[in-house]
Amino acid sequence: MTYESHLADLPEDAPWDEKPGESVIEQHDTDAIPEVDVTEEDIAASGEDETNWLIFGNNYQGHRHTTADVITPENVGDLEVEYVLELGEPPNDFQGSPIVVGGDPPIIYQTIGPDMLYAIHGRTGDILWTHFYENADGASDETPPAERGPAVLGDTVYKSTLDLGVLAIDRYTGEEQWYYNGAAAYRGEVAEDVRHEELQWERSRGTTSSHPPMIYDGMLMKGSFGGEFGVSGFYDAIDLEGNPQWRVNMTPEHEWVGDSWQHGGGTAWAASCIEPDTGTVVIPSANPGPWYGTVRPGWNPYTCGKVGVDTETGEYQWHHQDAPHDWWDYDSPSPPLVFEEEVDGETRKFATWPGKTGWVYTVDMETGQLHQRSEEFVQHYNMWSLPPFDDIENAQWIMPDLRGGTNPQTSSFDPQSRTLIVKGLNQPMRLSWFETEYEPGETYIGMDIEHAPVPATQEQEEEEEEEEDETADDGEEAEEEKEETADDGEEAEEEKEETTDDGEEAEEEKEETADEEADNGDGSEEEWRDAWNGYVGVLAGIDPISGEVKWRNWYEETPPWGGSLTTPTGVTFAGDGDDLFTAFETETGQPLASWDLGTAASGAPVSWYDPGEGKQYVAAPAGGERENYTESGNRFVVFSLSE
Amino acid sequence: MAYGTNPEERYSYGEVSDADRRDFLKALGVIAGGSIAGATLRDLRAEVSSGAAEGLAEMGEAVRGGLTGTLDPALLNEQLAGLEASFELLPELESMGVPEQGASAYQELTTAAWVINDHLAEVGFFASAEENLPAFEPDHIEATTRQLLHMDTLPATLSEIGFSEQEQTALVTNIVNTREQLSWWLATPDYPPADAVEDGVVHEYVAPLHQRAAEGSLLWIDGLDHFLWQREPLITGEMIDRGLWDIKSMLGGYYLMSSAVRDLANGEIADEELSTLITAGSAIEIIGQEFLLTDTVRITDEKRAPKGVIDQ
Repeated sequence: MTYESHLADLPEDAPWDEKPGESVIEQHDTDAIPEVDVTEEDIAASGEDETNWLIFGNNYQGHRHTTADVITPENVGDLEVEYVLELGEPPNDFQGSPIVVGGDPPIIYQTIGPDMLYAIHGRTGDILWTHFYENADGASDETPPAERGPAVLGDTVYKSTLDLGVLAIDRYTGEEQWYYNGAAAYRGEVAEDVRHEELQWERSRGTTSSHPPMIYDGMLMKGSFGGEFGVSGFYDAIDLEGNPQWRVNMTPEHEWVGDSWQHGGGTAWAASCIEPDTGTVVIPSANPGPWYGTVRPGWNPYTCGKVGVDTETGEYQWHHQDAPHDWWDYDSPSPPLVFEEEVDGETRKFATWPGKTGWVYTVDMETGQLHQRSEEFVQHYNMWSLPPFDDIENAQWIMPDLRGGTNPQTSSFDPQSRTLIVKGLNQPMRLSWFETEYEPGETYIGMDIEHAPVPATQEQEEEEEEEEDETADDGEEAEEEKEETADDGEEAEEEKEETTDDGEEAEEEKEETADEEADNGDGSEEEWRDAWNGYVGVLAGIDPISGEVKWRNWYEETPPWGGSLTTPTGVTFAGDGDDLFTAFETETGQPLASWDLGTAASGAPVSWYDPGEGKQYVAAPAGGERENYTESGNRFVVFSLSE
Repeated sequence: MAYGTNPEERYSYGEVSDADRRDFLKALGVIAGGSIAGATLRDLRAEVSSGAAEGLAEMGEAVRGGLTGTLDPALLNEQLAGLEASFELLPELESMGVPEQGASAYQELTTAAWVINDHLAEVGFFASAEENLPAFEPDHIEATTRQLLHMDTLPATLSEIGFSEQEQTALVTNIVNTREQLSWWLATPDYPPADAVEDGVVHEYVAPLHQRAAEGSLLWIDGLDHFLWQREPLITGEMIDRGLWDIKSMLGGYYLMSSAVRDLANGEIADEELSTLITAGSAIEIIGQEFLLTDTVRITDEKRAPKGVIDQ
């Protein structure tokens, strides 16, 4: 295998600094932002500094672990709501992670789709400035793209944009410093009119999203999107003045038949992480295009996996494909993590991530060789069965679903107990392919998709229908029932809490039955309904070295989106699609306390300690308007606990 | 399986069961009674008529006429000798088990085939094959298989490159028994239907059918050094063994196709045999790569090596 086509040409005459969209800036009390010099050393040490959360994963390794230790399993129930912000409007959702720059006061930088960036007073929740960028391609009102968060360094906050660019913005004022035009050239070809024509379509959730920039050793790195639009993915590095340095072609030409690489997908739309000692960035990669494989024989690297790349040169280090030659959209957007562990007397570094395929992969960071594939954390049923041609009625039901396993939900890691916290979906689907043609700016999928109905939702709908009938019969008005929300800081009803694997006997029996039967079958309705445990999602604690699934908490109605975080005191925070933000015991998964956010917890939580207030804070971005969400909304909920 | 001919249950790994032979004969219109034909090509040939060869001859003539460059007999002779030598390496791969880091044993199997491939692409062979041969439609598969069984030289050719009599039969029966999966590989103009294509945009990036079959096979084989090494904790001996049969099939298909082209270059092949061997060789290449995925690449929990155990 050769990767001579791994790096793309970067034509010097491309309009790399031309900005196609418009910025709208609003400034409020910008003087409240303290001057704090954020260095790369600070970013590298963020995971050990309880006052900061300076990078997507709170360290280059992506652990989403804070060293703030005010909150413990014993007192977590005393957490109080400090403030709640309404950012953006539904159906925008977060998906990403805020950044927190410690100081007096701490400042939070938060994005929400499409291309909206906020600077927020960490103590009061006051909006200090906003920078909204209107990208030149527009964004769907109904399903706007997700945002995955900014990056900071020095006096600048950086965000990727929905026209494949990067905006450098003054951290204190919200004013633009420069723009990098990532669509100025494509496959080595200079754009005729600012942006390459094949990279233009209305931005929409599911096909486009911002990528959280990664800054390391004077380089800013970011990915691309559009795998459902027949693009070839790329991953860029620019210097801190916005000049292109290298671009990885995520579909290296010599490894594909003919010109199929040109529309082969492999975009990189989720957060990366870095092994800082060697300067290797680990890039998540998305699905190949089109979804059916007969036009693109071969392994289709680097689709559906992770790629290790040298941050200085962009040179290839290793790659791992979770689903080589994919047909099911089993791409690998989950942000990877890097950790160190002694194995057989040798201290080694590993990269780990959960796949849409429903397993956690742990590879040697130096070579990319698989150390372990975990036990399944979601069910597998008729795994790897090929979709038939144009016959979805007779297609087999299979698990995992094309949304996972784990999709972009970012995992967290507790180094003390060596526990990876993973979210996943658990729902049957069936697919059937049909031929499709490539046209710039049009979807390029060629697959019919059907998801299995959710039993709990079906039962609920049937009950509601019955209630409606009864109400109509006797003429009484239905009583409005509304859950208490985080506004008033009260905990949600215990009834909505999750079921833990080692909890009630009945649940254990249900799960065991499903695990035993969920292997392969004929895919008939009776059989897949028996095989499916009926839960649509899971939160799991997994040992990435042994592959052991330590615990699983199942969700009945709505799969959990968003990320999680861990504390050194053994607490894990994770939200779910039923509006609950929950603290768990990291080692066992036992729920400790829950709060109703009033909308689904779609973002990744962060935590920091504010010495000026003597409090540990936890921020939980929640919102959006997905098909399974109970309530739409856009809430940025900040909790605190005094020492 | 929810679809059609259920290829996973009818694919033969070098040995053809009575049921697989019965399915094969049934597909060719031969209703087998209580007893079933023997397992050699000669046995099957006795049961299946050759059919009319005119159509295949016309196709072969058209493929020949559609070449845009000149075939190089010396290059083809030399590289086919190299390809023949590749088959001799297969037993070593079986005993090697999981490759070491950086190994290239699997890649070495395809060195000669890539040279042939570049030459075939250069002279317009793949474009002409797609232009002048049907895709894997039932009638074409049937006509090709009948003709293939009645080629006198086939058993000797396959024997020379290391296929036993049982394996020769498996190569041929697999074409018919996996015909539905073959039918998914459409000719390039059929992605999407030709009347929906504007300005030939599809042809700009989807390679011709027979090129996809050939190069896909070579890419899959090349990647196995890396894949097997990388997935060592999951790999079992059965995965390697079955994968080696799939590889042998792909290389066998490649050999049939390219030796036909060599014979064309030397003026030593009839037109109906040319089209037959191109179709059959490509079909074997395709089905080999589809089953390499099933046998070796797509690893379920049921198939994987137990955690903590490296099974070679």
